[in-house]
Amino acid sequence: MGIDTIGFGVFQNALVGVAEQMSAIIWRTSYSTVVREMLDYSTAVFDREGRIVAQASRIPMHLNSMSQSLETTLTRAYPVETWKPGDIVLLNDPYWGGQHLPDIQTFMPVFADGELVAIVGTLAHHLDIGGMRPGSYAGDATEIFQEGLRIPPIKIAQNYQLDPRLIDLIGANIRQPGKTLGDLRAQTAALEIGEKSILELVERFSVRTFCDFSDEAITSSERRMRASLKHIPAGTYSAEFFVDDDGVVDEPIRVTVKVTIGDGEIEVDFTGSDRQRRGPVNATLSSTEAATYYVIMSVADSTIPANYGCYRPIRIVTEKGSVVDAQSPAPVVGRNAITHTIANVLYAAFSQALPDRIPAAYYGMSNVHILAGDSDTGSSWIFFDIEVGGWGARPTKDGPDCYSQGIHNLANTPIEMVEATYPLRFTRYELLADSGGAGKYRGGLGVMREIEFLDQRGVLNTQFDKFKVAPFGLFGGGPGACGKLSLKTNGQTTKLQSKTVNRALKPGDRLTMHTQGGGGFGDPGERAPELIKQDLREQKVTPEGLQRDYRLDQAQIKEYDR
Amino acid sequence: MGTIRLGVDIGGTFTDLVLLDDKTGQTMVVKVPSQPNKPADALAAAVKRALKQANAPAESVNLLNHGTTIVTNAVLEGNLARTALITTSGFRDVLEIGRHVRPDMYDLNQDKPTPIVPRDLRFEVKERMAPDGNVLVSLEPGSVRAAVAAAKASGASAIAIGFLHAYANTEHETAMKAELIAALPEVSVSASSDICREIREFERISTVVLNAAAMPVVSRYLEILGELTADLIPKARVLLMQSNGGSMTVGAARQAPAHLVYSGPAAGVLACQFIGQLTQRPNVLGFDMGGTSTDISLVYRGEPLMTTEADVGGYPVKLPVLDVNTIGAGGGSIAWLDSGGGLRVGPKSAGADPGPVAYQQGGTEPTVTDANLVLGRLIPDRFLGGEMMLDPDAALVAIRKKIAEPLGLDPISAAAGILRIANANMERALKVSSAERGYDPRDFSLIAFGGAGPVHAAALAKEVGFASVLVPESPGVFSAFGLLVADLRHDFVRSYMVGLDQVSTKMLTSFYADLQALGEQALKDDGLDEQRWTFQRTADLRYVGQAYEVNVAFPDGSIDADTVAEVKSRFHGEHQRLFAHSAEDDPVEFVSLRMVATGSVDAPTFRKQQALSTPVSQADTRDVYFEEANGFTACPIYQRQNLYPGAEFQGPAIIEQLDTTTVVHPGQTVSVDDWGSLIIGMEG
Repeated sequence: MGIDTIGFGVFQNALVGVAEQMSAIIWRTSYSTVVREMLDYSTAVFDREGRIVAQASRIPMHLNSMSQSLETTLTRAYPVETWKPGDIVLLNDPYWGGQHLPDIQTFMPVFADGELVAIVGTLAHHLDIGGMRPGSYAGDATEIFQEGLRIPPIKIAQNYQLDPRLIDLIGANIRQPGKTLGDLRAQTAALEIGEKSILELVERFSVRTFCDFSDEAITSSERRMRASLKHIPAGTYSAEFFVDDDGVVDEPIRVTVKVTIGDGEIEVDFTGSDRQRRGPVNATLSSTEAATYYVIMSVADSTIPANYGCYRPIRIVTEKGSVVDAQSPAPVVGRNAITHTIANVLYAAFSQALPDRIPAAYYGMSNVHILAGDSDTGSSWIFFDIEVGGWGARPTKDGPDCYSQGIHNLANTPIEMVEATYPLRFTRYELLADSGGAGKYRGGLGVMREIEFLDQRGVLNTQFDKFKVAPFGLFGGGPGACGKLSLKTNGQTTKLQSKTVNRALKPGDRLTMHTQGGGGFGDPGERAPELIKQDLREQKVTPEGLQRDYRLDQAQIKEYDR
Repeated sequence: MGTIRLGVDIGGTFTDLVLLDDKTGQTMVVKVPSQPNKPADALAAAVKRALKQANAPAESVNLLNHGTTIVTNAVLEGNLARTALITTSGFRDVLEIGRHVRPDMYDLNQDKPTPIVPRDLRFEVKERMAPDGNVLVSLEPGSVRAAVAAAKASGASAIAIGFLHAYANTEHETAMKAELIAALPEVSVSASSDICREIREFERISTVVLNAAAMPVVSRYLEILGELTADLIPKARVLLMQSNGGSMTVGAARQAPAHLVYSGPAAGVLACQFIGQLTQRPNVLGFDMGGTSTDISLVYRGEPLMTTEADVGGYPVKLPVLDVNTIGAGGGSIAWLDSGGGLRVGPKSAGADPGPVAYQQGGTEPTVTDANLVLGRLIPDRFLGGEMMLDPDAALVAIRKKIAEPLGLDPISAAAGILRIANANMERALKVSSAERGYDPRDFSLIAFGGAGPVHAAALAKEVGFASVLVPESPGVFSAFGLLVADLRHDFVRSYMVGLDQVSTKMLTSFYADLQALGEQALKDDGLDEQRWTFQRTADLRYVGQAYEVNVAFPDGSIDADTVAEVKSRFHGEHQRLFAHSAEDDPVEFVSLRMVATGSVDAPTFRKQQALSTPVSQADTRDVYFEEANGFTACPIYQRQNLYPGAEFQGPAIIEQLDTTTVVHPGQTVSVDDWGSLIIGMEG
């Protein structure tokens, strides 16, 4: 093959190192909790043609998330030959290849000896990008124009100098510009570190070898992906699953998939999924791809260096204008309702091919809740958090309780930090007994969280799901519990929609959320007595739950509860 | 009064002892096999042997400092005490819910760490504090009684107390603790505000739970240790090495064993700091490479880097610890081919058993050590001073079959490839520990120790760009030297979240005074005279809205507006240095105030080595592979015990000694300094 295998090994290690190093800079220097504690950012290195060669993603939704944006940037806005050292291009427009407006992407070319050798990129979710609702999560948006500032590719910097006029333009259109612009500084610092590290590599390997190795990185990942797909039994596997509603029209949304595997290739066909919706749950193709790539990597071989080559044997088929390939001006900020459902529906399909490896459905939503308030003194604030639920049970063991799964991976914000920063008080944070789907192996438990609002006035916005459609069990396992949301105000408790829009809050109002449990695996009648005993002892399952979901009678339960 | 001090470092395989006689400045080292089930027995055996070899009476030992893995092992092996947790009503699951993040993005079979306290041993009491320390709900006596009764009935031998916002007001935790101690005198009790008075409930509760659960285990061990040492070295003061780089008394260790989690690695860092001081190298990077893993640490301007983001076995420990980056790469790391035909090294390791193929103990997978042997860098009949015969032919066959043939390479190129990949992994880790944190490798010397450190250090230093490499006289027991120089240390913290524009200098003064009073009491309890005390104030700050804090030194003396302005400017400067940007106009806030109380021990007196008129003895020559020489080249082999201060020679060179081998590459230079350390200079 004529390539220096050992040198290539060193190169590949170092290239992933570049992406990781950029990632470390963003993590350490960003301001907002969205980036710092929710890990909602990623970095990547592209070759001179814009193909991704290395990436550092902290969450699956950012796998390959920049490739489409870079491609449209190069083909429609700034062709490769127009780039100069020190240029930075910025964009966030989902209809230029992005996922949703809060994700700001930046790209910078790397030149060595006057020759373009690579492009480095960063993506970070920003706290606010303007639009009709604080935090830019407008659950009632029906057009993307309501969701915030749309930025198609613009050259935000030339010769390493940010354009202050453009920065002001962005600052003028968003809430809390200080924080957003702070995170943008972290992104540009990461680009400069990326450039410097690439140049060190070029110096070590020469321009020619650097480019050859970049090509080889793609070829070898493709080879490995094809080899690993051959280990999945060939055939066609179909499944469908649903999102509760889009928050605007109260109707379930169908996501349907047909997976065809054979000869080291895989086709994932979403034809038949519902048309794009009025409410903001639509996914652009970039979002659908990220969710699909994630599931395939977790099923095939996650050790393959993730780059353009990995994705080449994967063909994704969508209908333009459907919920999995939304077209402008559909609103998209809540695209995770669709992408989590894509992950679960794909697991349902893969479990037919690999019944002994695939878990039941997990909680299936990034349960976004945003509380915002202002007081008579004029100070205003926004608290944004995401809560998770239970994992699906696995073929050989229970699903973990309340743990990040699927297409995101994030940290909660410490209660003490929230209370020290915002006029909010938590009154409960606990696991929900009986919320895990019954089975030989139990689904993970959801969680209950109760927050009291203490400011003079405020509003609540949420993006939840799986309040009506439960996370499914597999092979006889029961479904996980659905989520729910309620607000207690003046002693009166009201049930809220999963996608609550701009609900007014008064001092003393109490918000209670229940997140979803994971589905069970296998016949509940086969559950091992030690596990039933432990669940009872730890109050993760109640006697009533055992009677209902495991069909045990009083005498049996008493025996277990001793 | 005796003049001998001992440092004993109990590791997984060996227990190392260093003896220093302060009167003569002479040192001696002893190595005995560890006894995992009876760690104190190995310590006793080492002490006995050392006293015998040094021909020193038992009474002549005045100090024993001890590095121990007892807490770490108890956590990793699940041998902690049965422990209960008492917490604020509504929040018993904080410990189990954790922070949600899964360490592996893809693995569908991963699990959360099982909480040290299971759900049925977590009991709630009615009470609630606000973040500013105001009582929202008073501690309700009925619920306290119920919790005490439940804890008693549970049969737990340790109880942790963790209330929300206890960092702001300790009253409720203190009252709860008093109730428990009165009702259950035989049970170990620990409150979160005692061990970690810091904001972020999950991390603080996790810390106190681990501390409580380790208390009975450590108490038992200290009892045995106490009996043994009373017998063996009756005049010696016995101390334990903490993760923060200071030592602690036996009494303090009984109450706060969580400070022992990184006891072993901390000793190594301290040894690096010390040798840096001794040789006027304020900036050093410690590189401790063993059979299965490598520890990397950093000392900048004479001060080791600390962190409060440590964990052991997946359980966070929110205490200041020396920042040691451990990677799964060592001499036993296995070379393999991935499904795409790419050469990889590690993280799987052949360990000590079966070990590398060359050990002939049943290992079949080629390792880094095998590659070093095939390339002539290790000498088959002199490994570990000749105690173990290595089989280079077996190593060669394994490399040929498993690596070279599938790749279409000759076995020598394959062996060189294994080293290149292994070094690339370590190079990456060294960069993470230095350049990625804003430290320029060119300002640092690499200190190479552990069995495999000196084999790889010179190649790595060249690639990463370190100024020089220092190989101490006894790299195999170097960590234990750190134990001889550790001062007593206590860390205190108090979270105080307030913007710099609203901060009250009166409150700052009062918080630091409280912290200092705690420090004075602790040092008094240690039995140290006042003239040995020092106090160092620091503060954790961040830009408002940032979720990550930066620790900066807080000026001594009285606190006024100028002090706050100075702290602010230090924060901007430190932020700029660490993160390559700062924002002078953005608001800044305090998160936590910290105090380090130190009680100094007498500075040790090490003796310089004597220079001889012929500092380099005759060397043998062997063929050794170097990439720089495009293959095998005649390379001088020196014996370390025959090298004296003043010796100077050029690479390539191999320097052999009992516990390691030092590899010097072509173009590099070697000299021996007054302390017997090898100094390897880079080209030019």
